[in-house]
Amino acid sequence: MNKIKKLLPALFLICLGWQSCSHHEGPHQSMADIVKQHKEEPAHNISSDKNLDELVKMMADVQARDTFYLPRRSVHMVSFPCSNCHTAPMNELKAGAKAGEKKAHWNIELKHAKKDAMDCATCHNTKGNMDELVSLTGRTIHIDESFKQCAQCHSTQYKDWEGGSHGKRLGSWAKPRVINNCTNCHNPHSPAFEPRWPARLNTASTYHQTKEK
Amino acid sequence: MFFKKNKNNSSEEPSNTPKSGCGTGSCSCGSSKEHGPKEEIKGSEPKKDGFDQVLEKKTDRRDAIKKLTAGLLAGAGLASTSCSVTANDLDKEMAGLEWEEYFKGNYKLMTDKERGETIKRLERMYELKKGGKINVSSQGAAEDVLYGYAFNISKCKGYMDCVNACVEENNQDRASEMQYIRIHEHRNGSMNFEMADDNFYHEVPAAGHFYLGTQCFHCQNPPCVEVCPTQATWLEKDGIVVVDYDWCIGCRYCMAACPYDGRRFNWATPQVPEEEVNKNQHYLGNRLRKKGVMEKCTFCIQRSRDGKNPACVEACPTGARIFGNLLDPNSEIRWVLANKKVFRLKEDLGTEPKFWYFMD
Repeated sequence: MNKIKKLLPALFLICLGWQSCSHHEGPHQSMADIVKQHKEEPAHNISSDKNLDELVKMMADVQARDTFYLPRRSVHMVSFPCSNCHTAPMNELKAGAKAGEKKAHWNIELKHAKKDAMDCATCHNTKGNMDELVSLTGRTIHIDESFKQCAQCHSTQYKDWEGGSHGKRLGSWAKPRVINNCTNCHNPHSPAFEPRWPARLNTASTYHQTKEK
Repeated sequence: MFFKKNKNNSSEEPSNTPKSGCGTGSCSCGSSKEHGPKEEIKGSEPKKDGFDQVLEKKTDRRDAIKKLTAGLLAGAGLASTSCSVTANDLDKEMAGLEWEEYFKGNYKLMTDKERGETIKRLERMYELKKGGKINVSSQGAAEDVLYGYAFNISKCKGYMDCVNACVEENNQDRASEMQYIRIHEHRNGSMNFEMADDNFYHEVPAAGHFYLGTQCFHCQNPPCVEVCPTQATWLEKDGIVVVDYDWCIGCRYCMAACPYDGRRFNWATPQVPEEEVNKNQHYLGNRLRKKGVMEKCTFCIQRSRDGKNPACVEACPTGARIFGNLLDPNSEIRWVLANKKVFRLKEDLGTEPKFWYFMD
């Protein structure tokens, strides 16, 4: 009997504990736990495909953790391919032109890095095939893969872009992943975003303030 | 023993008060009929609460209402023989639909058939009222999906494009300028929301400032859901906290319980110009609301469950907004969580928001 009496409070505590546990059974779970539990591909069948019909997708030529696509840029460029006009290397074309004559894209002002570091020829192939970009080591880069050009200097941004924290996802959160190329948002000749006016008046709390007053 | 006594006292008190309040005889809430099933349910399955009773009651009531409606329609038909026939038919239909709508159940408890019926009614009612067609979806949560959101405070420049997109997408009240998203302009080096400017209208970004957006964080442990007396708001399986606008009584408990200013109230009937109404709707999302109900961000449930990004994500010109599936180890949001120094607001409250902030 004594033993049972001693056990009673323990039993009571166990019951209490069990009850309080069952009470918290609800949805409360730490996000870190939930995220950690999932290491495999999700089984849902939602795809980004149907939302991206109009985009001309191209597979990015990178060894990323997961395949992703980029919108093709060359098809939207009005004066591409460059070789339509640039039939000869730059120095020959320049030699043939009249003194002071400017034919095309003379209005482009390079606002990108310092003049010591960059000029037109840093990215554009002025010596060979004008349709392609050229890397710092002289290798050619396809115009649709301009991110490789940018990545040479902007390695931090490139890493973030490839991972997913820099740049912009297109159309859908689901797979396959389609993201903007660098030049879809940044003008390569003037990559910084200019300050501008907000799209609308920020009236987040004016309504409340006028009410309070 | 002392505790026990105290507990007993406190549990008796509230049960006594309503009795004394309703004990006038004319009131039906204290009748023995209701006590029977309550005790039964408590005894057999402790997890069952008022829901089943509501369900049972609802079907009973619905039958009664159907009979009433039939009577009403018959009466209306009799009384209006002199008027034009077509107009009468439409009026009759509308009256019937309104009756049915008024007495429908909580969306959470509806069967798929009932959901389909109410959606048909809503679409038909809009057609009768406005002449246009809307498409209301009842698409449920997909397996293996838990939505999460990340906000890059280095990238946001306060352009406010997200707010415009949100208002247009979600049919928010134009009259009171309701907005789910708030963009707070903070001075560099401080994140005091009391000191933030929420009413800026100047060229952005302002020098020496950063911008931080808030909206519903879709907490995994949502306090707003906890306090709702009618269970008109709940956490869906894919992590979206939703509101059943037809079950909300407008008590605004949730608004008070939300530590993040995530909920909005319709003080008046929301005004949305007919040509601006987004006709692609979801029952738990952007369908048109009425006066006296709560609403909030739903991660654009009508879009996200369809595989699309929310309107704010799509509209953001800087890519500061990242949306994705937390259960997909290869998703962008998971990459951000793994590789960036992320933080959440008021983490100490244990609300587990699925909305993280980070810097480049």
